[in-house]
Amino acid sequence: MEAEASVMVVDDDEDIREVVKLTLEVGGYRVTTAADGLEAWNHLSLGAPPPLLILLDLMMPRMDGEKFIKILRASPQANIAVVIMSGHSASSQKTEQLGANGCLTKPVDMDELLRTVRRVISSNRLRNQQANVRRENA
Amino acid sequence: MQEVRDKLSTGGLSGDLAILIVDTGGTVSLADGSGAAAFGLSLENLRGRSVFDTLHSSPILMGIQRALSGRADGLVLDIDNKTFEVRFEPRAGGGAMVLAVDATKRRRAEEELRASDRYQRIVFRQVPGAIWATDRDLRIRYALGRVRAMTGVDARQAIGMTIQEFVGARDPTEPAVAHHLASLAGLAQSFRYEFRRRWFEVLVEPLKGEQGQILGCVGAAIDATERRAFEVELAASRRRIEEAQRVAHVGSFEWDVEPNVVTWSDELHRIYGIERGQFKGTYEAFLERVHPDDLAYTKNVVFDAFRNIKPFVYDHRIVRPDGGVRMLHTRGDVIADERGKPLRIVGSCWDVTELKDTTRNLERALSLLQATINATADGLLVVDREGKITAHNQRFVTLWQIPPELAEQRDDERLLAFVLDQLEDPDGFVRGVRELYGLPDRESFDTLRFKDGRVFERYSTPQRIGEQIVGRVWSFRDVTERERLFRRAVFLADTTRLLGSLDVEPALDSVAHMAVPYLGDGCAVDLLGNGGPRRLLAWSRDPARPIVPELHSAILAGHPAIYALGPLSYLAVPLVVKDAVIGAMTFVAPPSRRYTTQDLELAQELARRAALSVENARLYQSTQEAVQARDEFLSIVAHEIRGPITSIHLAVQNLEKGKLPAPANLKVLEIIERQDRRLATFVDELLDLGRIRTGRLDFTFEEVDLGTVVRDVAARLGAEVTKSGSSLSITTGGRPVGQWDRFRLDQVVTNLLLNAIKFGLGKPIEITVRAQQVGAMLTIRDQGVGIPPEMQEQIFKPFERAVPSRHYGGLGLGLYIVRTIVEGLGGTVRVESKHHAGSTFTVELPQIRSP
Repeated sequence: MEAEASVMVVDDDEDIREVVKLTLEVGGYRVTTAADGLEAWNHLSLGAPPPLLILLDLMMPRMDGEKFIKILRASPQANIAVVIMSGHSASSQKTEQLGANGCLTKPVDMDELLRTVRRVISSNRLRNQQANVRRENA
Repeated sequence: MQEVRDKLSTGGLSGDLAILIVDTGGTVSLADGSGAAAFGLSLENLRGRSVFDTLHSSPILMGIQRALSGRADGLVLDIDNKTFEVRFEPRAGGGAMVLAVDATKRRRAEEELRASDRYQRIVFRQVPGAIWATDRDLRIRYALGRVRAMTGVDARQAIGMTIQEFVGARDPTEPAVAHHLASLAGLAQSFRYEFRRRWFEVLVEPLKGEQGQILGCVGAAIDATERRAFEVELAASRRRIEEAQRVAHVGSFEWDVEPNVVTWSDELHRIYGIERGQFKGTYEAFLERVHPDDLAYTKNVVFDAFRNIKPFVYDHRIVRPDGGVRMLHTRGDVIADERGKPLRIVGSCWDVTELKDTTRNLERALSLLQATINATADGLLVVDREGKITAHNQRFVTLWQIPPELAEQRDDERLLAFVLDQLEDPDGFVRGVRELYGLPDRESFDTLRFKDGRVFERYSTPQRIGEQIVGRVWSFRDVTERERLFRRAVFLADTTRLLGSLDVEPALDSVAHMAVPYLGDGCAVDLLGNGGPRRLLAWSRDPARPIVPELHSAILAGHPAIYALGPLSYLAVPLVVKDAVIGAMTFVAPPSRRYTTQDLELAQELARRAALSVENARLYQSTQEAVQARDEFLSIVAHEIRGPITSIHLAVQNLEKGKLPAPANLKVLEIIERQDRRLATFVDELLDLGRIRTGRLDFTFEEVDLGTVVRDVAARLGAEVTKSGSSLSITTGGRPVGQWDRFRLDQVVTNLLLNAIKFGLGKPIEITVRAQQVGAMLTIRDQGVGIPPEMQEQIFKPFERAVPSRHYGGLGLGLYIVRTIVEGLGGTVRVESKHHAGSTFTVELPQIRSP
């Protein structure tokens, strides 16, 4: 288990935010939450320490998940891993299309949630390191 | 005188004798004898007188004059049945002598002898017959007559031949031979005999001697060939007449008036149905057989004939013994004596029963034909081979609108001109007619179109008598109505097919094109929608004369109209769907046409179908929308359910693992309870929706205070309000009480408040409850996102939301349920809103729902 690994949960359903936060905290993550894309973006852009991974709902008021990813990927924090957690199934294709790193379909199983978060964080870190190496070599 | 005596003696004259001696001067010097009658004068009157004085210019004087001039002469004189032979001789020494002898007796005897010979010759030359005599050996000893002409055998040659040789037969049974033999036996024979192709009546008798002994035969034969032929002919002729009478049912009668004897021919017996002998042969017996109804008439006819002695003709019935009644046509004539007294009536009777029946049948058939011709719906015209009219019925006159005087004139030329004037294509008609006169046995069929729109069917067929074509029958039928209905049906069928399309506007466009020129010169289609009428199209036959009629005001009220604008006739029909006018079709007639109610009916039918088509398309569209909305709804339902399940699922798994810190356990349990409630609400909403859909939303009416309901709901949702960041104020005015359903009213307020919380953007929410004159009014006002105008009606429909569904949770059924409940309570709900400036929902409820 890796200390200090942080995850941001973005969902308009307060109870889901709360229970996912509890689950991830039990799993050893430091967790922040946001009620929609706009709030999440505000957190990031206001200089809060960036999470390693964002668990992102798609259907939200104000700024939905789709829009949030676009903004995120266009920003300096584009390398943050994103896992979509949506009520709609069959989004693996959409996951790639949106530029997300993984997806979970509600209702989410606790073990699956933790497993996915761990796998995506490690694979994303590896990719980022490779990218850094390439950048240094360049 | 001696000279005279010598003359007398030497002349051998006998009988009465007279002598005259005349001197050269003509004076009679001597007159003597007993035969002076020859001179027509007595001798005394002649003596001493000049013959030129006494005899004047008689043949005697001419003879004397010739003798005086020296020439002898003679003559025969017939005077007073006596014949005198007179001689004139000149006398030696001058003068003349006249000798007259009465030769009457001698000349008569001589004459008789000569006549006898001549007669015999003539008789046997002229009479077609012959006589002969044979000896006992039948050898012909004497023959006279036309043996040669008759038989080709010379009479002189026949003499010496035997009968057997003459007829060329040895057989004793040969008739001629046999009869001669029989006569030798003493029997006179009379028979007919054919010899060398001629027929003879033959008589053969025994020739007897003075003592009665039979010396031979004497025969006579007369050629009866012609007579026999005539007899045969006569018999045949009689048979033919009888046969003719029998076949023609003509009988003849004769009534001898005085003895009252009536004689009937065989055929007349047959006509009366009786055998010969059954008729008693009197006038009264005849009357007995006359039909009782015709008896008086018959007597009158006969009486008149008698009185006027003139021929008569009349028809009367008779009754046969078997009761059968026959009709007789009788002709008769009266034969009278020189004093005008009727002697006989002769005449003939013709049995005309069948003829009368036939005539009656013919009359009946003619009458039937006439009645049929007049009763038929077809106009009939019969013309001869030259095209002259021979007959027509009344219907023909009516159909062609022919003035009565023209019909009576039978002026073919004028009639044709009158007829042609009505037709659209008179030349074509004339061509067709002319062609048919060239083809007399052709049957033909044609359709005639009239300038005024009428349509006739024409059928033409030859008129025949036997095999011969004598004319042509023309039959005309007015099929205008049928044609109109047919064209109408075709038009409606075509347009209906077009209107079957779900693409309404192109379909209406095609229909409008199809309606021109059938229904007019132009057609406009208008559709009424939000924001007034919209002209879909205006189509004119003549692009140079576009048709843009104003929409008639009657249309908006849902009524069809025929109206005129300037010189043109217009026809407008509304398109009505479920009592709502959704549009209109307007037609404009060509300048020559005025719309009728028939056109109106057709246009209405078309409009009905067009409206149905529009409705169909709208229904289809709304169905499609409903399906889409349902799919979206299901997707929302899934999403909304996945949310609570995710929370509950993770919460339960956390509890199971037991790794949560103690304070978190409580939080997790709260989450489970909250999400459980949320799911329960969903289920309720879905159940309500199901009830609304199936019309099973029940109400329990009781006295309810709306203010109380509002306060209860506000208390229950207090936490939600607080969490949303909004504040809530409640104002109550009066006592808002009515007969309502408490539970349903709670739903209404809950939904409206949740809505305000959800879309209120954390700004203040105000609720006002006021009692009204008859009921109550509730307003809930937020200052949130608001609702765009085009969505303000939609939000009360199921599965509709003013914002994209994915932005907000919930089924989106809340407002739909609100409106259904409010309307179920007899009230109304409405919304006023500005985008981004909040919404105000107003509910008005009657105190009690009107029944």
